[in-house]
Amino acid sequence: MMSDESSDLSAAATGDREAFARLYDRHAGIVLSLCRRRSWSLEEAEDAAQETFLRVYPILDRFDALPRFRAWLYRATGRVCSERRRAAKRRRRWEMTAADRQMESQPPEPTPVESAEHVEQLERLTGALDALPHKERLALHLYYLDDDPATTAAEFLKLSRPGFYKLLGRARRHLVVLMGEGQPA
Amino acid sequence: MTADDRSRRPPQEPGPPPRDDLDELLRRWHRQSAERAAAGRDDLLRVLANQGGRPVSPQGERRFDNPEPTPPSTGRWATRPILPAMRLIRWLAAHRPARIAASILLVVGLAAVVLFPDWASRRKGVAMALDLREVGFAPPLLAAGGWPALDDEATLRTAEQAVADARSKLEAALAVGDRNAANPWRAWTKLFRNLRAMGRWDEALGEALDFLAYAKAEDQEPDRYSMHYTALFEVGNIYLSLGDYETARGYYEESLAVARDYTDWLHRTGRLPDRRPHAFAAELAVGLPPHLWMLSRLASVEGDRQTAWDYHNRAGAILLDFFRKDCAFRGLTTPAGASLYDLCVAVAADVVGEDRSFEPPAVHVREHLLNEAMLLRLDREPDAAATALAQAADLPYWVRADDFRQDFYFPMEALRIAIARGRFEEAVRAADEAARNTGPRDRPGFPYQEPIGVLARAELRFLRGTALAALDPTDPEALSLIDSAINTVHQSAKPLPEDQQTHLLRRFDEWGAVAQEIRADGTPEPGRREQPIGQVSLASPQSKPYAPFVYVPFATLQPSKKGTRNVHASFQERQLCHQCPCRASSVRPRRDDRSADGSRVSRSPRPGVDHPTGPLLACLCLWSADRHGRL
Repeated sequence: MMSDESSDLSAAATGDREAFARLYDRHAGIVLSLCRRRSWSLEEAEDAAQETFLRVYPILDRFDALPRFRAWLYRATGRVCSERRRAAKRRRRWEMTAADRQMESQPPEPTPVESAEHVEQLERLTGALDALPHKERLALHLYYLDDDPATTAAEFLKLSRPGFYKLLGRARRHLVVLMGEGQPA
Repeated sequence: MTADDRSRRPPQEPGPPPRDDLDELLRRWHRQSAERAAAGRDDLLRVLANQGGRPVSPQGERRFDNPEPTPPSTGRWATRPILPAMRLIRWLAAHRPARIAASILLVVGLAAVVLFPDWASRRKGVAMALDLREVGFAPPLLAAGGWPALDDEATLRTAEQAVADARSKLEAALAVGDRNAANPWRAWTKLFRNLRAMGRWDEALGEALDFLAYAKAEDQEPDRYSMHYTALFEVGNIYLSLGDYETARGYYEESLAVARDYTDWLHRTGRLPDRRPHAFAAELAVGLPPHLWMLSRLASVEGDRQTAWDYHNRAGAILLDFFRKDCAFRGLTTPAGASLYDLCVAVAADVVGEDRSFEPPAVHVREHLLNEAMLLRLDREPDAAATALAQAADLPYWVRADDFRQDFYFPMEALRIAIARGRFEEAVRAADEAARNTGPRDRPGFPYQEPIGVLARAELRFLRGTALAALDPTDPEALSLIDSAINTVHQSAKPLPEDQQTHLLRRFDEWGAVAQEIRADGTPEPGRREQPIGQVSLASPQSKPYAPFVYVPFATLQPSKKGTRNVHASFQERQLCHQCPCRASSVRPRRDDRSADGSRVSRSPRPGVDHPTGPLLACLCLWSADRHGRL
């Protein structure tokens, strides 16, 4: 799988969009999850994730190895989100009208499928994830979104397999505490 | 199983988390992320398809335009190893979460330099992180702000004030809320350039990113292009300063792409001729890719001097060619071997003749050329006799418009630079010329009677007095000019509100100190003639080829109290760290000196020896350059 991804990286660097799409499929979930922490809405996070991929596309030829690509991608995610957040902060000063403010303060409408409880749980989880340390959060994203999380963690987080699961366990414990804190008494 | 058995059993290795409610919730959350991300896939591919092309740098240029990897440079720049401490500091500076750590490290480093000068001089200090490469880098860094940044604002004190001013102007511009009415472009640019010149990288980066965001939100042409291009370029510059070459290059390339869009737009809309006199448009008009400067700079800081030189030559040749064509286009007769400068002058004169308001063409470009050429030449031929970076005569006061800026500021710049270069006779001549320009009080367009005009003329008198004192400390005219300037400032301050008064007096109080020094030193020992100043000073390009790159606040050059060298550079409060080459003129400060009866004697800080907290960059550059025998 690793070699597939490496070959996708090489192919994408030469302009193969299908290969780039496969790279996107593999990493977009994690990138979006990382963006969600730093964005005030899911839509904004999606935009930031897209921008991250748009930024990496022209410089794919610079990544001679997959770990370097991943490291760049995950770091760039943070940078893009920061830039967008700052931009938005400025922009709001100039452009945000009262109507915008009102709209922004309203929570998103739940879809018919999602029950109120469901939405509430996910929101609480989102809040708790936001409060997690970066490494623990990344470990969770890798676990749930990467095909081979332990190997990726070994490369990217420099953790052994048991070390990775230990970090995961710690993240879960923190999540439980954080979600408990957020619950009304 | 007993409790003992359990305790003897090896601890269970951690495994995947259990399938519980939390796991289910996390899976749902991540599934939502994955689905949303997948939904955006097609959009992304569509955008990429619209952009077209392969995922390489614009114009298909790879790193430094070299199809093959650049062979390692064999020069001594390249062979010198990068200290681990330098890597560490660069890493700390480049990573935002480590700001506090970087600040602590910097403070510790500075404290070490201050407290243990010998230790520092053995080159084991953290401060060595600012290595010789940074000496090479400092000039373009400062040059990026142009001469105004060097000469008007980059003394620490005025830069601080300039930052505060720019910040308040920016806030005021933004507060207007109408993008069309308030364009904070200049205030913003000034703000982060000053922050950069002061080494406040994080703040500079923050501001530059804000500016970038603002530029991206611009939808009116041509600002949409020009602001965007500038913002990207500036952000790239700052990342470059932070040592993050990859990110810097990314921004430069983005900047280049926008610049090319701008060129296309100018061509498409037929606006290019209108913008011809503008230096930037001039570059674009001839397809002079601004990235040549950028790539040259990148190559330079990465130690690949040959590549830097090649890019530099290409850029210069293109620009020269453009000016030849432009002269022909304007029907100007120019000799075949005319220099770039001559051609600039011819075009400028022609434009002035047409009575058009414009920015002098290629002034900045020419300065870049001179800067870079000087730097690169020195790198390649360190033993060659260096010529001055810019002669006083090169300064753009050939533009003869009835305008306060051109009439006064440009000669003033010439004067300042002449003083900084130790060419005091030239300085006096430039002062005379500036005085002549400001002489006719009925000339329209010059605010002679306005406070700005009054203060400017006072500054002119001060500078002339400084130059005269440097030539001959016994010259009575020197002191009288300086005193007169000081009086004018005090008179001008009187009617102002208190805060402005304080600011004004603070800005000019160094003049009083200079007058005091001249008074104290003005009478040389009988029969002793001061050594000609320009020959041994920092300001002498002949003896110290790097001097032109060092930021020397012209206005504070003065004769030293004692010693063999007559001029030393001083920075804020005329104090410079003892590692600087001027230390030969002084001794370590003795703040705790006691008299014979044991009582403490207070001494005023001695120039050139106190506080290394002046413009840190310049100090360390000087020091580092000195350590490497460059000065």
